[in-house]
Amino acid sequence: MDSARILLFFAALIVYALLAVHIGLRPAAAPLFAVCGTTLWFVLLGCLGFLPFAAICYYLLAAGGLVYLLFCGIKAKRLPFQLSYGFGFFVLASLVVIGILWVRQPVFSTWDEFSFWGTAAKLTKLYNVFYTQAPVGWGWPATQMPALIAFGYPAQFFGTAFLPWQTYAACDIFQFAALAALLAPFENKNWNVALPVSLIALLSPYIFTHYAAPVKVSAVYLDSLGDVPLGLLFGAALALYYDAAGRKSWQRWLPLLLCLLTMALVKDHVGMALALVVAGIAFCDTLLRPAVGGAHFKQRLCKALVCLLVGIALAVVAYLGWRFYWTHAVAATGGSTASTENTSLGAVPGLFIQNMLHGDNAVFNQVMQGMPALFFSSSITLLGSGVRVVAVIMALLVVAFVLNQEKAARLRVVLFAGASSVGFLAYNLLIAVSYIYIFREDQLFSSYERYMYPYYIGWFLAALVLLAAAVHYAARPVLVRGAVLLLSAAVCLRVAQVVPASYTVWGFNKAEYANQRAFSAAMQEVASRLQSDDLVFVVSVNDDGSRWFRICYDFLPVQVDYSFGGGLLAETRTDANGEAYLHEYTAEEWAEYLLENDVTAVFIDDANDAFYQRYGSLFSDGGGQALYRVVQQGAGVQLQPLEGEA
Amino acid sequence: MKVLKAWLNNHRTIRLLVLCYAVALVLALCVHVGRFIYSQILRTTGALQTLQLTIEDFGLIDLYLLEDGSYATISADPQMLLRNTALRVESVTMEMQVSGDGVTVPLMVSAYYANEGEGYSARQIVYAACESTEGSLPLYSFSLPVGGAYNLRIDPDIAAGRMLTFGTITINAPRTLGSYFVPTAGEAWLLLVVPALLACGLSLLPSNWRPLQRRGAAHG
Repeated sequence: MDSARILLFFAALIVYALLAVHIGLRPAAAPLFAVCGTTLWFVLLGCLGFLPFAAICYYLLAAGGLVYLLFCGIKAKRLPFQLSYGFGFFVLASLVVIGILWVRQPVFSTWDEFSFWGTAAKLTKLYNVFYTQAPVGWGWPATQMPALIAFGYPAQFFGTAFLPWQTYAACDIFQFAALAALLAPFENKNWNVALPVSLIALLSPYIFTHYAAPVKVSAVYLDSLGDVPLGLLFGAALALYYDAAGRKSWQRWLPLLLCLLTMALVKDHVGMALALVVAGIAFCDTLLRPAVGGAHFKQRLCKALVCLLVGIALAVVAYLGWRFYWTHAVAATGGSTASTENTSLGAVPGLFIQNMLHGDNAVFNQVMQGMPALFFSSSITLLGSGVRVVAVIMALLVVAFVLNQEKAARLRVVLFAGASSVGFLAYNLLIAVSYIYIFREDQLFSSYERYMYPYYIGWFLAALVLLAAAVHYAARPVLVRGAVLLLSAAVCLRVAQVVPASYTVWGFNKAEYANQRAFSAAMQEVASRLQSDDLVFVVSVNDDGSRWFRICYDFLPVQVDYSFGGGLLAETRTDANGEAYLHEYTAEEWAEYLLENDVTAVFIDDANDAFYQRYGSLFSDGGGQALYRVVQQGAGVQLQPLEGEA
Repeated sequence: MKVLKAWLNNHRTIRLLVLCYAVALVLALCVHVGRFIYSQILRTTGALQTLQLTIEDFGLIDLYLLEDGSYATISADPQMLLRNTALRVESVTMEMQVSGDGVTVPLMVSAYYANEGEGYSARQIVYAACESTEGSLPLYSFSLPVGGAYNLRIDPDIAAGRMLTFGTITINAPRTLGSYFVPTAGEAWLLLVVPALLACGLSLLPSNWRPLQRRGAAHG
């Protein structure tokens, strides 16, 4: 049941996508429409605190939709025959990936999944409320944006167990829907363009997130982070815009609107930034292209402003709405809002101008010089550094320009090249500002590549879409088809050269995750001996913080205390050998801490002689067991072994 | 049914795809049959021999011999090396029992095979299938690409502090017919993608190109 529930979820999603086709949406855009609709529904109801109710409604409505389709939809409109390559691609790719993950059962394995995404997903499943409101006692998971977690929630609604592979599967379905939507502008009667484009798009995350041959299983399509999904959504939103531009049909615009809302909820503030870039590109395109906006400038200006304002409104409303909810929810649970920010957002523009004029802020100067240097020299993709990525994208656009015969279509390519480049500059500026004012000083340029991937992926995909869409406007469409086909062969070869099949989602071996699975099993065995209302102090003397995060994740619903440093142990420890572990604290101070924070148990994950020399007096048996119960004795504390108690 | 038939008839695309996948499947089948035949030829000419080895025949890294004859893994990356590219290898069967730390099965058993003069890489890795029978040591077996002579590296586990007891390690034990027909992940991916791209390429040819037109005409 726990495994099969993902199929039920996928079936519901397909029903919604079919209904979307039934009401006249492009078949290729229908899956993304259903995915974004699902995401937004669960984000909204999650914020209001009605997640289980939202899920029940979701499945009941899907059942009703299915009945309607069976008795009216299919007969009336011969629905199956309206479907397209893009829709089929979505269904097939999703089913294949569900099958693969089901058999091989991957589990979370990266730091960020334990400290942020994975733990947030598990909290949401276990407590049936948003992770922001779930009791965890530390603030990091709550800082995540909700889109992927909200979308993953209904996938695991039924049953009791939380299965990480289903989080991955939901995340992949999300991404495949975005890939399918890329095909919307040109796939009609052009399957031999759509097929190579879908293949290139499918492999594009490998091109942009690897810079060398991976030494372990690639995280592409095997993680729950927001970077790649955001990049794919960015590309899809642009494709949906070009499909809708200049048309009055609401069926073309609707998926785009939902897509923009969802983008703003995927990753940090950059999701909103990319949604704004889409709005900006749409503004330029509508304003300067008579074929879209109309012959008169005034008319075009009106339409362009509508595009811009609607885009901005959607992105900002979604983002600020979430921030508003977040501030209240986290304050309400009394959770720590410990985040990496150190300046309030409103003050940033003023500070920036001040620093630019005076040039006296060392961090400012370092970042403003560092960003261009990274762009030119830091090889973060298989294509090389950022400048090479941009060169490739521009080359695609030049080819698209040359192949297009119609003037309007050529203008579209030129406008896109210009507007997206300006957008890229603005995006870089935003990242720079984030480094200067929002990140701590020791985090300068951290995750630089992860902030750049989304823009590169989306930019590349949109250029690819414009090239493929030239098939409608070319004097000799066969040249476009040929060019896309050649490009797809080149991409396949390049990816195959660098990424071994055995390290991709397609070919990885179940055994690659054996280590993580064994660790989780061991930790869950320990947790099963505790009560669900226990608060556990973890001692792990050689930990750099990663084990603390993993234990937090695996122990749930048993809570883990911050334990003198939590995930920041690497930064607070003074001695690499762990000799000075808990160096600041005497045995009495530790005992006091345990009492004050209502810690009920201590888990010795890893301890050494130095540790017992210092704190051994607190242990009733001198130490050596794994689990101890905290027992108050007068003003002090004794730790009594829990072994055999359960 | 009628609708479906008409739809198929009107879709050169579907016919093209079916054709390409059929051709690719037949080709893949031929390749696998060829491997099987080649393997049998090597066997009858004596180029491929079944060998019984013991753990002493391997160069050991991070495997420490204990008094009771078993080996302790002293790191998370223990390795068994067999450097002899004069030896043709197409399968390895290893008897091994794991103990210690409350476990009885290894986390992962994998083997790298490198051609002469090349290093070990993730491109040339196989994972063991395990088979355990009552009363004897569990059997871990690998199938390698047919016809090659390799430097072998077996990673018997990926955890430190385990005790491994080895039995016989058989090179080129007789294989089942079916094992010659299991594609690797890379081969399966090729089988999926190449026919589709090929069909795209063929569809670019002028529609009055004769071989395709004749097929089209036959179907209506």
